[in-house]
Amino acid sequence: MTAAAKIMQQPGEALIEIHDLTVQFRTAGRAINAVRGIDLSIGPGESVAILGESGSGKSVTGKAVMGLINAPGKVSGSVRFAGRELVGLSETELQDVRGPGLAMVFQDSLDALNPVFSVGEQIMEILMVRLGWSREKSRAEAISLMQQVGIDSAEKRLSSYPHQFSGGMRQRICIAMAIALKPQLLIADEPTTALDVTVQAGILKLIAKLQRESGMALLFVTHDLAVARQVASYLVVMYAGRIVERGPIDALYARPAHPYTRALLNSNPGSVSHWSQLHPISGNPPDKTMVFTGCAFADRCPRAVSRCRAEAPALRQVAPGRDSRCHFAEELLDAH
Amino acid sequence: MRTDGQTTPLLQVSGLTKHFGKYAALDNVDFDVAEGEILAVVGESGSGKSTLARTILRLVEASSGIVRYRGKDLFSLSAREMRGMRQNLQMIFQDPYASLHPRRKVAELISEPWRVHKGVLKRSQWGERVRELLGQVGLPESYANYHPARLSGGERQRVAIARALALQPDLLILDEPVSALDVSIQAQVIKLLMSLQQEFGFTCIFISHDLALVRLLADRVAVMYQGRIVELEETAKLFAAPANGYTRLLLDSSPSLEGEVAAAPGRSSDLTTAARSRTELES
Repeated sequence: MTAAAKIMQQPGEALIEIHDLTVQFRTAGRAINAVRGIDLSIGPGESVAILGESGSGKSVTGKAVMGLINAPGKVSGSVRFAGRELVGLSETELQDVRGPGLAMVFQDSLDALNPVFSVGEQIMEILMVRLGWSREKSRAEAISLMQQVGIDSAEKRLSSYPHQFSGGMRQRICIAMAIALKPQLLIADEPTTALDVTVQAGILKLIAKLQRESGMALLFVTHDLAVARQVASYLVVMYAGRIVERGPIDALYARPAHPYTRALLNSNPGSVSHWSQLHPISGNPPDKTMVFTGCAFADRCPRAVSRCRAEAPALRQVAPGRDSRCHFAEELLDAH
Repeated sequence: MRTDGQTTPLLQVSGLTKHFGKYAALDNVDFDVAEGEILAVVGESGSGKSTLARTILRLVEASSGIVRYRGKDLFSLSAREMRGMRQNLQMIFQDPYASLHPRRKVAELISEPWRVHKGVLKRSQWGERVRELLGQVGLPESYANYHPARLSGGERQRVAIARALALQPDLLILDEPVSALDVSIQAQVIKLLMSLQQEFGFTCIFISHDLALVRLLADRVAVMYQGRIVELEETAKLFAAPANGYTRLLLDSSPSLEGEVAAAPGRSSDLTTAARSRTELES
């Protein structure tokens, strides 16, 4: 399977290499397969979006990379970051990697910040603890970070508490904290889903700008096709815990190589001009306890034939730079 | 506002205002809805769009203003008269996990309106009508005996739609009916709602934050900002040439599959400043 993962970059170039990552939870004796084997590598400075519906495993993938899956959740497979294996590291060892290596921004900024400390204290703490900087130096850097994320009169706002900011401003502060140690990879998990559309636009622009200017890599988790398009140049589509398609985002939207991606595009309001032209995907996303012998999408797929239910398709290269987990990917590509 | 109607509009809203303390959630809102029309109300959180729906249906009482349904002043009705009136005015809520009683079976949920509005349908006909409604919303008859917990989000919203249609209302108010649903399910529910609207001809107020979606289905769009309607226009015109600055900001901010937000050069900085100054106001 690494062969597929290496299509993106030559070996050795990758900042992070994920191999056969699986995450399993258990409830009432039943196995919940949140992530069912992911291979993915991200190079330095690359911007990658993971797209999926709820239950696709997209968020769990991001958290697993960050080492945030707590027992009894079980992570297996390999996540190599800058040559170092992260799966199986202790919490203390992981803390070395987080910050200057990996940093994360979450959907809910109110949960991510401590309500009893001013935002300035929270940003400064990172610098004082991790870099051993003095209060004064940390304070100056905190102001500069707040300016970088677009907070006006940063010096005055330093002493404000999280609840004194709007949702959009709080998310900017979370981003400031995430980039404080200049991470090589920023993982953003639906960072704008809870925000209004005008506020979302500002945050997406900010993330794209920081990514471009700092050269950090970005892994952006989202359910929104259009949002993915704003921040990422490479798209990974997940379904039922697996990658079903990936490739450069423009090419992928223009000529999807998996029926699920195609169906998502056809059911997106932005792609048609009248509701009658929408082509909904029938059925529901599969249950995470399900075990598949064939393709996980077969039950909802308009093209499915008996082979799809009998034989699980592998993720394979179907065109230069394009991978798909569909037996009929080439036909799909040719049909466009 | 519409001026072409020789007939009375189905719904006339004028000067509608709702204060929560000093805060005006609705500030002097006027609009008409014609019979059979689909009016979209768009806006961001706090714009007053959900308060508007609730005030029209008297789920919250207005501070001032008038709402007329077929010429009849709804606010002058007694509580009892209003209950009777709700036969004609139904609402579908955003969260189908909250709007369906978890201990009731689907058949009970759908027939509940007939329990409230006695005399609408003879009890002996309930079973048959429930099956008919399930068919109309695309659910198998066997679902009548299920509890909501067995249903997915999309299926629950179908049950909520069946229940709203049980009384054959003239006006259906939809408050973000698909925004809690998964992307692949949203289109299913939209197509269902719109084909039912075509079949039965009910009038719709469709409340949404999703401009891309309302563009596909509304006859006219009202844009709300801070409790006011800042623009009300036919859908095609509004999207082609938005007259109001806030409408333009909303349109520019909506991410598209084509690429960058606010592609127009020189616009982008205004966009973030405007968005930012707005959030500063909130903070």
